[in-house]
Amino acid sequence: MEKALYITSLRKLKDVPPGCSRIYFGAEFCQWRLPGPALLKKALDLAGEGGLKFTLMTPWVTDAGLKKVKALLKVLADADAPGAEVVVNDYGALDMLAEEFPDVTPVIGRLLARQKRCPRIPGMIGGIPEAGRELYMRSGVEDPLTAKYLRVFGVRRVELDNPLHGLSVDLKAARLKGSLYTPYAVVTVTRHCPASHDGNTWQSFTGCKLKACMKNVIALKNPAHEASILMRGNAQFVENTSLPVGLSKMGIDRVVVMEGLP
Amino acid sequence: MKILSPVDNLAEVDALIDAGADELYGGYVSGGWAKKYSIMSSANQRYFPSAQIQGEAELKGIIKVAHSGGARFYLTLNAPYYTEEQYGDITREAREFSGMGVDAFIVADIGLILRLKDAMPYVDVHLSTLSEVFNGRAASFYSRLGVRRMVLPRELTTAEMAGIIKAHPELDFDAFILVGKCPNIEGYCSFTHNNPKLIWPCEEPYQMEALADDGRTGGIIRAQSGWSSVNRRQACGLCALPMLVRAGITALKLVGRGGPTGMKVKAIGAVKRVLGLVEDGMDEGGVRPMAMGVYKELFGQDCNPYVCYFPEVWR
Repeated sequence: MEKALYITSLRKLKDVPPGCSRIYFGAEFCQWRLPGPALLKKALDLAGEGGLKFTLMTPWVTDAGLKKVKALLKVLADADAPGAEVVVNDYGALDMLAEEFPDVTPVIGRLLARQKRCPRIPGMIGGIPEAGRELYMRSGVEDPLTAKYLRVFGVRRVELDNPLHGLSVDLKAARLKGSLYTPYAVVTVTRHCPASHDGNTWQSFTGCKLKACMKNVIALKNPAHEASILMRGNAQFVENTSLPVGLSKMGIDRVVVMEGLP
Repeated sequence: MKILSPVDNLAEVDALIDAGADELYGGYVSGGWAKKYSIMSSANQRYFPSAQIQGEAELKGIIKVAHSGGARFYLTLNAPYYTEEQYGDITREAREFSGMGVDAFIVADIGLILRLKDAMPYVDVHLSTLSEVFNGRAASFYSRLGVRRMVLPRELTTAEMAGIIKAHPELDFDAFILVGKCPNIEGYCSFTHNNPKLIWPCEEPYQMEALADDGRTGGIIRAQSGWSSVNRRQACGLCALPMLVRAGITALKLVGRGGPTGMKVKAIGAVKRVLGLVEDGMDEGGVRPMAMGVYKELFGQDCNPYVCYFPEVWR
């Protein structure tokens, strides 16, 4: 089982635990948090020096964000980085990557993987018939026909969350490999980023200068529900510290350890 | 520019068309599907019965009356994804729906688009907003699947919509205009929407506690708390109609499956009124106060950024 470390700052490269052979770096949910080309170059150099493979995270993007992603893909395509990958969370980014950067390896990100992750599901899933419950355990890209279509775009891997109610995927039938994130599963993402609100409106619609997401984390609690929601920037998460059994059987060959909320 | 309205039952079809709806859309979960999978594993993106057309006879009647009134009818099959067993069932059911006269399916899942296009190459597939076409290349990606009409996300600015449409003159695009707004991006949200009181996790009041704070969490909490103090079912984009017309939007989509007929009729009327002003040549400066007045008349209160589809107009 490959082990990867998901970092939000290059400073964390000093703390890569033994056994980690890959780092994840970039921005998964917000285009305003994408690193610039120079920082990406630095990250690639540092990863290379540490003998670590590199995965660039990219978020959902508007056309403005797509330009930023394109600039990063140029850096990655030119880098001497064996095993490098790009996680895409936007089919526009995948479309561009496949056409303009065919040598860069795309990976389907958590937002496109389409899983049920709501922390309320454990309390209601028992009332769903077995045939309907199966949907809650699976992902949207493990359908062999979907995976076959995505293979045309170079996709061989999908990034998955570990929902509180459990996971039971069959990636082998879809000829996909899977990465499982731990311990934070993403529940929802917004463009109305509360950390970008300037008292009048959300800067996240037009270009965020506040960057209040970087150092602020908020727990959202409802006494009627056990699991707290953790919010950083424009994304909300639940924490699940236990890993499912039988990862290899499901086709999952990588665990991505998050050093904090992304 | 067309007006696309939700429809839930046969009794309201004539009223919606008379009010000005050019096109109707609705959801239906067959009895067999509901028994086998449950409404919580719905064939479309609604998990409560009141948002579904009740029975096959009702569905057939809606299609027939819509067509006789000159309106097209689109069926939502926009679950984010399906199991292998469900693919077989939904593809078979879609053939039956098509035979009933459904004019297009609103779909979100790549696997279902592939199967529908394989089983019925002639069928029109509209891309659900759940597919999140945030940029022109995303529209290219889905157009390769044979999709020719797409519902744009609620989170795009009018300028971003215009850019996508300009890049794809061969495609049609819908924009949301009234009634329902999500705090979160629908296609990337996995909150369950099955509370019997129809209050979703995104609009509940939460106790919020800072776990890491650089002195700005107070503002963040205030901004996030706003969602529980507004009625997100009173969303509106009427002020932006001049920009949407210029951008080349094909249809204005009203939200509100499961809502009362009277509200649907009033909402269509509100869009018709403001659209009429735009078509008569009124500019943004003139339209905005008129639109805000129409909003207040419709919902009984002033609008605010939380219920605005285009927050950039508040700058």
